Amino acid sequence: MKDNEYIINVQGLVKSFNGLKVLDGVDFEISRGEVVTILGPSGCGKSTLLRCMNLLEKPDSGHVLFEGTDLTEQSSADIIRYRRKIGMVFQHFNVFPHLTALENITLAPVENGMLSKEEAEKKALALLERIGLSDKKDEYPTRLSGGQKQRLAIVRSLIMEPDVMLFDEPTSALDPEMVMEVLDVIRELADSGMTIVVVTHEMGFAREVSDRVLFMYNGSILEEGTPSEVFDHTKNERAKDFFRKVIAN
Amino acid sequence: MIRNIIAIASRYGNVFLLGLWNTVWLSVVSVTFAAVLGIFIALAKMSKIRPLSRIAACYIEVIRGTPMLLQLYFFWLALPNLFPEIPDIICILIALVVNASAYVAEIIRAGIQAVDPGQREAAMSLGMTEKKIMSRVIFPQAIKNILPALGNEVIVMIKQTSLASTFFIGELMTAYKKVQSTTFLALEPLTIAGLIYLFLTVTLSRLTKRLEQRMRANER
Repeated sequence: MKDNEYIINVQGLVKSFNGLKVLDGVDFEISRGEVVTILGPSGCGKSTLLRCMNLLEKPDSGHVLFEGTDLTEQSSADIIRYRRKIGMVFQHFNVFPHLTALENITLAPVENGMLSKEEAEKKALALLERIGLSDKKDEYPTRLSGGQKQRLAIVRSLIMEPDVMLFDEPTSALDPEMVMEVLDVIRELADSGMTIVVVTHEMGFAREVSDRVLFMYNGSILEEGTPSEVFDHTKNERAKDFFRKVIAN
Repeated sequence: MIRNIIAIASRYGNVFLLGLWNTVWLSVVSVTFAAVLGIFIALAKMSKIRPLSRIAACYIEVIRGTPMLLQLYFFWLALPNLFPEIPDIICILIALVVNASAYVAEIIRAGIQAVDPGQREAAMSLGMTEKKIMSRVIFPQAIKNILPALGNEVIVMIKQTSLASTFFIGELMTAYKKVQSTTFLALEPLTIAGLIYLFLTVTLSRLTKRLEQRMRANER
C-alpha cells in the first residue's frame, strides 16, 4: 500500500440534473487517514459530490481517482469491485428490512464471495459487539431505533474493510437524542485511523473531528482548510453568512 | 324458485362441482404460469436495453388494450393452424395465460418499483452485482407487494374464465349451460353458479387480505 498517495482524488467534476448544474468543476483530494467534512447549504451539491466518489452518480465530466485508478474509465464490473473498498452510509440508513441485524451485515461479503458464511458471522458478531448491539443480532430493523439502525448501517460497510468511508448526512434523519450515539461511532472510527469523508450539518462535530473542512456553495468548493481556518477566520462572505446562520441555532 | 334451486342443486350438484373444479384449476394454473412469464416481461420492460423494453411495453399494451373474449377467439382460431392436433382446452389455457401475464407483469413491475430506491443504492455501495441486488435485496421486499396483488389477479381470473364457456370447456358457466339445456330452467342454475362464484371470490379476497396483513406485520 502506497501511504503517501491520495485515496480519492476528484478532478474537474461536473454533474447536471435536468440542465441544472449541481457540480461545477470540483477538484479535491483526500489523503490516507484524513477526516474531511463537507459543509454547505442544502442543494449546494455536497451529497452529489459524495455520491460521485463511488459512482452511485455518474459524473458528466471529470475524473474520480480511487487509489490512483480512474473509476470513470472502469467497466461496470470493475466499478462494482472498487465499491467494495469504499464504504457508504446514508441519511436514511437504508438497512435491509427483510434481514436480521446479523444478516444485514453478512449479506454483501457472503454474496460477493469475499467471506464464507461462518467467517462473515464471526466478524459480524464482533462488529455488533463493538457498537453494543450484540443482543439485537436476531432482530429485524423494525425493532431497532433510528440510532441503532444507523450504527448497524455503519458496521455493515465496515465488514468489507473499506479504505475510505463516506457519510452522507448520517445524523440528519435521527431524533436529537440519538445523534450522539452515531457520532460516537464515527468519532471512534476516525480515531482508529479510518479515512473519512462526511457531509454533515453537525458543526460542533465537524470542528472536533475534522482534519480539514470544505465549504461548498452552488456546486463549487468556496473555502477549504482546517476547522479553525474555515469556521473562525474565513474571509469568504457566503461561508461567513452560512456559519452565522447555522451556529446561531 | 327456491325449491327449484334446491332441487337442481341436489340433482346436478356434481355437474356444478366439476365446473367449480375446472374454474379453480384454470384460474390458478393460468395465474401461476402467468406469474413466471410475467417476471420476464416485467424485467424486460424495466430493462435498459431499449428494444427489449419496447417489445415488453408493446406486448402489455396489446394484451391490456384488447378484450379477453377476442383473445380467446384469436388463440382458439390461430393455434390449430400451427398445431392441428391441439385440444381446445390448451388453446383456451394459453389465451388465459397470455392475458394474465400482461396484468401480472405490471403487478410485478409496480411491486419492484415500490421498493425504496435507497435499498438498491445501499446494495450497490456494498459492491453487490446487479443480479444479487435483484435476487437478495429487491425481490424479497417486492414479493410482499406482489403476492397480495396476485391473489387479486386470481379473483379476476376466476370471473374471466366464465368467458371461456363460449368454447364449452367445462368451467362453471359451461356447467350452467349444461344444466340449463337439460332442465329448461335458466334463472335457477344461474343463481347457483352465481353463488358458487361469490363463495370463491369472497373466500379468496379474505385470504388475500389476511396474507397482506401478515406480510405487513412481519416488517417495517
